[in-house]
Amino acid sequence: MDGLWRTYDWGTGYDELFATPGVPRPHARALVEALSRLDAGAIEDRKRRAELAMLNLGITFTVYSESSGVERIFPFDLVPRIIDGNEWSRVEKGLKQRVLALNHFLQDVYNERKIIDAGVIPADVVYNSPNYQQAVVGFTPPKQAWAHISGIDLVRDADGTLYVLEDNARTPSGVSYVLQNRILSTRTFPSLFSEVSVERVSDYARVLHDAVRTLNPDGPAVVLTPGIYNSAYFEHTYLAKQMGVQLVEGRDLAVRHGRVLMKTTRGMIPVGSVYRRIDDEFLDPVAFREDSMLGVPGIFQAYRSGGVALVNAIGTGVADDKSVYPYVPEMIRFYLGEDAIIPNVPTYRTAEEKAREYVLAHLRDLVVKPTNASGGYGVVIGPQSDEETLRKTAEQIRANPEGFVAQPLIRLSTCPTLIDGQVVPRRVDLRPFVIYSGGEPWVLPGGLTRVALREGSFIVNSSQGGGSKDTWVTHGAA
Amino acid sequence: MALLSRVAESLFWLGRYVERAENTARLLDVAYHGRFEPTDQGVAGALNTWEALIATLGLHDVYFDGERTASEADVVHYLTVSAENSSSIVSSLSQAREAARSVRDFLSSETWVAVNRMYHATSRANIQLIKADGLYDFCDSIRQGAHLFAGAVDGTALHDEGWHWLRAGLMVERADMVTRIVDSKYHLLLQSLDDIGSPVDRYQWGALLRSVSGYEAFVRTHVGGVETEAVVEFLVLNPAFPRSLRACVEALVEALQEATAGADPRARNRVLKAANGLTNRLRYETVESLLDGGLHEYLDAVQIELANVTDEVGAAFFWTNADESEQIQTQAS
Repeated sequence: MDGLWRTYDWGTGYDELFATPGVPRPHARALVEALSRLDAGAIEDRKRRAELAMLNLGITFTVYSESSGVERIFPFDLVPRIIDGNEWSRVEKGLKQRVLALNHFLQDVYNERKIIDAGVIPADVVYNSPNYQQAVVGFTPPKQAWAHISGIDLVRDADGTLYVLEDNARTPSGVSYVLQNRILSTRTFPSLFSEVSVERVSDYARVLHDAVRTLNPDGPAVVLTPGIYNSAYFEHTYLAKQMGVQLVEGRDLAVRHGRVLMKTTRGMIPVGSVYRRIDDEFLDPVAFREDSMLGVPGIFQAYRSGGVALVNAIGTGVADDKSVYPYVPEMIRFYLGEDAIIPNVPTYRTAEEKAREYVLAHLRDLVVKPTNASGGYGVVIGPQSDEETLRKTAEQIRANPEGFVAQPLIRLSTCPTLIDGQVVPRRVDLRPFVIYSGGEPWVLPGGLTRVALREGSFIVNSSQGGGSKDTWVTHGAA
Repeated sequence: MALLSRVAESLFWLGRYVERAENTARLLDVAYHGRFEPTDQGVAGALNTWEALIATLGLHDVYFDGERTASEADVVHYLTVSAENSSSIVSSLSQAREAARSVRDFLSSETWVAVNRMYHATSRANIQLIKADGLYDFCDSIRQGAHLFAGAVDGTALHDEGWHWLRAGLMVERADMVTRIVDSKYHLLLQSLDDIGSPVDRYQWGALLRSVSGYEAFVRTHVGGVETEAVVEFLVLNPAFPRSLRACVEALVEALQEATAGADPRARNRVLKAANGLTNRLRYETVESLLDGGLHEYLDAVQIELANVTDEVGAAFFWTNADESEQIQTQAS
């Protein structure tokens, strides 16, 4: 291999683009060859320009630390991650299956509770979850669809097996970067797209809009944002613009006579469905947290009585709770009578005494995660932690066994990544997005590949120094 | 697609904030360069240039409430970078950017980038930098940024309802500022007949014309020179000069007419009635009658009417200062 690739070496794990050193995987060959024709300096230059454009356009997210929110761009790596079309069709089936099962589960645990009666999932796992929402017990949303937009995080281990690392069934973010990254990479490699046949991602906004509208066609759909200080505000504006709908804040809406109305310069206009990017607790100060300034008083009542559809439904958090996650394969078997196509990462619930003992004895080899947090916050990676951290983690687990799960460290696959003009291996994960509004789920081809830009790092979250890549799914068997 | 009231309001204020930053920069620049010109320290009641500038901007009471003095350093700091002053240049631009962010899905990319650039450029500025580079460069960059913004707004945005709201906000602010600029003569020099026509008087009117980029246009059309009556007529009543009070108010009325076209007549009429009252006042006024009745009193009345237009717009279209339930019934019936 020439140029860029001469020094590319990822060690003993699994690389997404190369089978063995110097030999690209068949579906990545065209890309690897095209890249080897380019000069690293020229690519770096294009990358800098793309990032400057992102800053001036305000394509940013906000990082929260103890002091204050700082606006940053989400670093974009120009080397795409490619997924073979045949592998993807299996992944797609697995994702549809999983999302269907999660939706069945949500409908069930808030209504008939068959899965609990059958003893498949212990009652306390469900009912003790802080994400189990009492307010929607006995409620059925339109088309029995709960998690309309899910982001299912996948990781690949050293032997090439893909696992589901976690489910995100509340308000998963990141899809705007998928769409933006595609625009950036088509600008950078215009000719490559004619050589490699890549599944397009541009249908997302249309499919999303259709799904949201289907749930209640009586009035326009809107996107509800917490406002400009939210870390994903850029995404909210982007999606509203792409869907062609209004981006509203809580104060733009009012509830009257069971309908949600938006305040416009031409009067109050009834809204059909609300794609809300506000958590359940902040959605309605009357029904949930009184101190919420972001929500819409009375929207929950309007929702329960069918006056408005909410996307995602209220209460979906119980489906992506990290204590519920270990049961998803059984859930799939219970509701669909099928085996899970994409396996879970083996998970120890520290709430169970035996598992807890094992975890405490093997902290050094495990990854410990808080059950009720996201964004990579609070994750402790045993093999990379010092004694002090492990001791504190053990203390926390003993004090609050319900609050954690542990998993073996997955040696995340690598993908060539451009750092300072050199192509180097960096670890990646994948967040595909699935849309469901009754009927068959729709999967966005590919999804968001996040990359840990620091050498040796396993944490890909944007809040922890991660970046992203465009993800190409090559056309499958067809 | 109907425009959200909040979006209309943010666009209105976006226009106002950018214009406010620009006008503050213009006034500062003129005051700064006027330091070496003759003054009237001897005249009873006259204020120094900096104190007069604070008074012009309507900030006199707030400003002297603190420890500040009427020194150049204090005033420049207060008007450029001070975070305590919500209408300092830096505060105005952060508010402009905040408004722009909250409606960025409605702005053209060029418009958003223009606001964002101005913000990034000034939020990094600090008083030492302004001192070192000279105030002129700072003020000039604000003016240039505002022109770029205006160009992007006119040249790249859809001229739809939102655009008209932005223009309305800009024109309200510009009109208000013209009244303040003309009125600043009153603060500089309490009118006494002896001073009219003096060199100091002529210098001051010249400076005012410069602050609205009107000096060149004025001298080209007024061979008689810089005389009080002619300048007042030019700045207040001349329909052809784009920064005259009358031109601003006419542009404001036009923007409001377009922005409210097709709206509930009750809401629309409230706004247009208030705005048209102002146009009529200016259209059928002569400079003689205006000066006879007292320039300061006249400008005061115009400022009150402008504030009234803003209130009516807020109540009828932005859902602020209004009883919400009453609004909803109005719209439903």
